[in-house]
Amino acid sequence: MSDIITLENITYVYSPGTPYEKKALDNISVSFEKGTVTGIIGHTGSGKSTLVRLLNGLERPSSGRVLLDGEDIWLKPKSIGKIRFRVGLVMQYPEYQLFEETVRKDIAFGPKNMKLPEDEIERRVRETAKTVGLSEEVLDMAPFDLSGGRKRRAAIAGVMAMTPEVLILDEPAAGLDPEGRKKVFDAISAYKEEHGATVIIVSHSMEDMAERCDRLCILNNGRIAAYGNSGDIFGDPSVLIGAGLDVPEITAVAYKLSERGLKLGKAVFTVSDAAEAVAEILKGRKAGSDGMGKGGFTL
Amino acid sequence: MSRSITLGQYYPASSVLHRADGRMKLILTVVFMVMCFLCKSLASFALLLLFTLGLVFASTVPLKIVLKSVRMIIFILIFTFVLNIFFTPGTGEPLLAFWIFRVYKDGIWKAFFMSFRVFCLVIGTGLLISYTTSPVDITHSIESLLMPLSKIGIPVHSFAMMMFIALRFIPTLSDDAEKIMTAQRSRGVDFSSGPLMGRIRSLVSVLIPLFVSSFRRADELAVAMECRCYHGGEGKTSLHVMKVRFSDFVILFVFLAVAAGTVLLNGIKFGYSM
Ligand SMILES: Nc1ncnc2c1ncn2[C@@H]1O[C@H](COP(=O)(O)OP(=O)(O)O)[C@@H](O)[C@H]1O
Ligand SMILES: [Mg+2]
Repeated sequence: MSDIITLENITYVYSPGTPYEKKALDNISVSFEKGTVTGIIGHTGSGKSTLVRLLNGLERPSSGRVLLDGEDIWLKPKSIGKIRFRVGLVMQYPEYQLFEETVRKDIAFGPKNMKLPEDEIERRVRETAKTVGLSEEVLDMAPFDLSGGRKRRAAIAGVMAMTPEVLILDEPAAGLDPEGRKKVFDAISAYKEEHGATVIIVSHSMEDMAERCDRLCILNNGRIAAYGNSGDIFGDPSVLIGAGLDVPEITAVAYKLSERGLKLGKAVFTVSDAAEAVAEILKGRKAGSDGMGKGGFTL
Repeated sequence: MSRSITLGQYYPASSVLHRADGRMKLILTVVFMVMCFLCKSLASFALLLLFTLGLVFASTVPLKIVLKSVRMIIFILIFTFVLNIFFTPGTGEPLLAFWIFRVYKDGIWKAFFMSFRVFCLVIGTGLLISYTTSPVDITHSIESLLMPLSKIGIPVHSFAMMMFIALRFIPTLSDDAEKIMTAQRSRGVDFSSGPLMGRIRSLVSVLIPLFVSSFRRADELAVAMECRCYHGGEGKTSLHVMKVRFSDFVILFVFLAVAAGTVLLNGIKFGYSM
């Protein structure tokens, strides 16, 4: 498959030339493949939000190029606005951007800025409301009257209604309860299915990302610590731990075990996973086969 | 957050001036202003210049940044200069005469002196207050200096707390505003070009969320303060205990000495004196 967005040697410096100068991204090169779901993981301050703001041209890189479909997005700085309709960004806590009297009007705000005809706007509002699971009544309510989870989905719908080819979400589930998180992620999957879009999700929660992402990009202090298939990355938690991420305790235990020679076969994130994996090994040992490494580990 | 303290012109460092007591610096500012207006002769102006440069050096703020504050008042400087050059009555023959304007030699001297005075005034007070004292320290210092007024029923502490909260929330709100603007730009709003009416309308998409978030923040802060039993009344102690140290008095002494010096140097009638 082909790449839709490519970052080439991107460096980004905040407030250059002042005492507050801060290099947020340091010579980053990475490509996002068309139609995939990529997760960007990193601890707070590792540069995730800066990275995604570069992708839709909200920030201009200090050096390096951002390519969309092979074309430098800053070639014509005057028309950078058009890029933002192709690469939609849902910022962190997007509910704070709601401002219209009704949810319907707010979702229509983006398409209106695209200068689409009225009936097309109307159609998109209804369609995206369905995608994110907001009912017809909710559309006529004031956004400030909605519950936290619905507000979040209304705000996400506001970006989806512009039907971007690439949908980027910065911590889309932050601060929501489990049910709210699930609904948000369901909405994202639904959008991807309907439009065949490329999705990039920023998070620092491993559990959310493990099952939902095809690719993972681990950021650490403005550099890419690892990039690859999510199975591979989660198979070796040392990278995650090295990047200062909080892996679940049981994952850390499993990693410690594997360091000492007891390979569990796959990455575990829950205690029951680990129990199964250990049971598997014990079964293997009873059957006489060698489930252990050379270390002569005894349980 | 590193960004929060970029408020105003504060230049973070730990020079002698940065460490000096905020209240003392407020007093020194007054001394410095008086000093500027006491200068009348070429010699005393030379001392003033030397002293101002000394302050720049002592503050460790780069000269480039200090001169930035002069750029802001360049029009005032030019205005002072032009006004003095044309409207100073002088004796003897004017150097230049046209229409109602007469330029005398005295006028040129005075124009230089007056603009130089404003120049030093801005740099000196800037160094003492804005560059080396954080807004929070300024608030605490003003509160402490005005405290005697609470004896006659003026709620100094409440005013200081209001000012403190306002200062504290400027960076927060500007952060919020920036975030909301970025979010709306992601939805295709163009704040920097297009027809005027369109741009005004696009501001609405920032102002409404900003109002909502500032009311929310105000509410949260009030609740948080009440939860900690804040009542703003008698007997509240402060986390920042201000203490005037010996070095502060040394600095005060230097300022007073220089002020006295300028007065003495006024006696030297070399070149021109006002
Ligand atoms: N507007 C800004 N000005 C200066 N520094 C910033 C700004 N935004 C972020 N930073 C700094 O850049 C680094 C990366 O920030 P960010 O991209 O927000 O990280 P993340 O989203 O991974 O938490 C942090 O150290 C942060 O303090
Ligand atoms: Mg972030």
